[in-house]
Amino acid sequence: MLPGALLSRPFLRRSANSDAGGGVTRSPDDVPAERAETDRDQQDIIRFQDGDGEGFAALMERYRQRAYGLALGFCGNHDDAMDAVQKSFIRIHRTLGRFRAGEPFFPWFYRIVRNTSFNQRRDESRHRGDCPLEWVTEPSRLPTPLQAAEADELRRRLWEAVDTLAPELREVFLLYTFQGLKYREIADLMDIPLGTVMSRLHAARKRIRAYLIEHRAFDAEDRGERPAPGDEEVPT
Amino acid sequence: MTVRRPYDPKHDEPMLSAYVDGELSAEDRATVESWLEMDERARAEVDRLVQMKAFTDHLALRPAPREAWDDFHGRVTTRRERSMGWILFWSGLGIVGFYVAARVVLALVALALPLIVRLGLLAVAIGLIVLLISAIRERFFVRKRDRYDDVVR
Repeated sequence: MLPGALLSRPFLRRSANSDAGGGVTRSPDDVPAERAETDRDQQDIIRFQDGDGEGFAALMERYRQRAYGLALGFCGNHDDAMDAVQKSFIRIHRTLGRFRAGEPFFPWFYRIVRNTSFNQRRDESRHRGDCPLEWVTEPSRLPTPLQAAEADELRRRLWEAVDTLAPELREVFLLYTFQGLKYREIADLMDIPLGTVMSRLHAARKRIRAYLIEHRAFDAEDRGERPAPGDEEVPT
Repeated sequence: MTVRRPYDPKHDEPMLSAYVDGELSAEDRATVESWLEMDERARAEVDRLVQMKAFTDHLALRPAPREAWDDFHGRVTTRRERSMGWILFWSGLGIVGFYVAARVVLALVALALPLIVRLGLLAVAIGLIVLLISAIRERFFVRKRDRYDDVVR
């Protein structure tokens, strides 16, 4: 029997509150809010282009948490993430004057934060901090009740597994799992087909699962499952 | 009744992921559900995906500590000014350096020095430039990427 009961269970999604590492969850009710945000972005960009520095300050205030959430996922530690966020806003300030009014701000902003974070990770590869993930649910209320130590081990191993993914897989996995974006939004943001998002996300999950089983952090009846030889390639 | 193609794990597994995420169209969802009714491998894979998703949905990236945003605007402004300062400094140094080098070369050519001395001076000048470029490269690029920088010898 299909785990329909499991599928219909409302999975916990990260809240859209700005303290949740920049994660966002969308619902149809959010559409007017998104439109209002887009309008605010355009007004602030025009203010900045007209010489009012407060426009940039307002954009930075509104987007810094989201930038931090993205940078933390890509860099893996707080110090590098903060550094990447600062560098991103410096680049945004430098190029915002040439931003075409009417274009959506977020995809442009995302590319800057992403590229800056990738450079930061490459240049500061010595930095390895604590696992940046945290449980948002009490361990006793997790799908399988875990002891605190087990939960901590699973969390740590899961991040290690994410860290070993190829950049293309890691990016899709982070955007879906920790930024709460839908497949279509990821496809638009990364400028790739929807099918590629689907296959990359699935490949990422398979590799993470194989890593967790290999490191005995995941209890599975099918322990020893490994990706098939063809799975090693990054889906395009 | 619509006849649906059989489940092929090699090609169809990503659709199971999308099914678990609720990202499929009604038609694709019906296709996946027909596989789940008929194919044990599809059911097993969906179980695994649900188990995995059940854990990742309870995890989030840790938010930045509140104090990380203290004077954030000021710090970005300071770094922005400094980076502008560095760009101006290096641009100016390049222009002045080029001018000085050109004047030195012209002065040397004007002097009636023996060829061997001219070659010696040219070698000194090129050596200095190479050393300067090497030092700058190490300062800004190589040291940042040195994997063994933390190793205590």
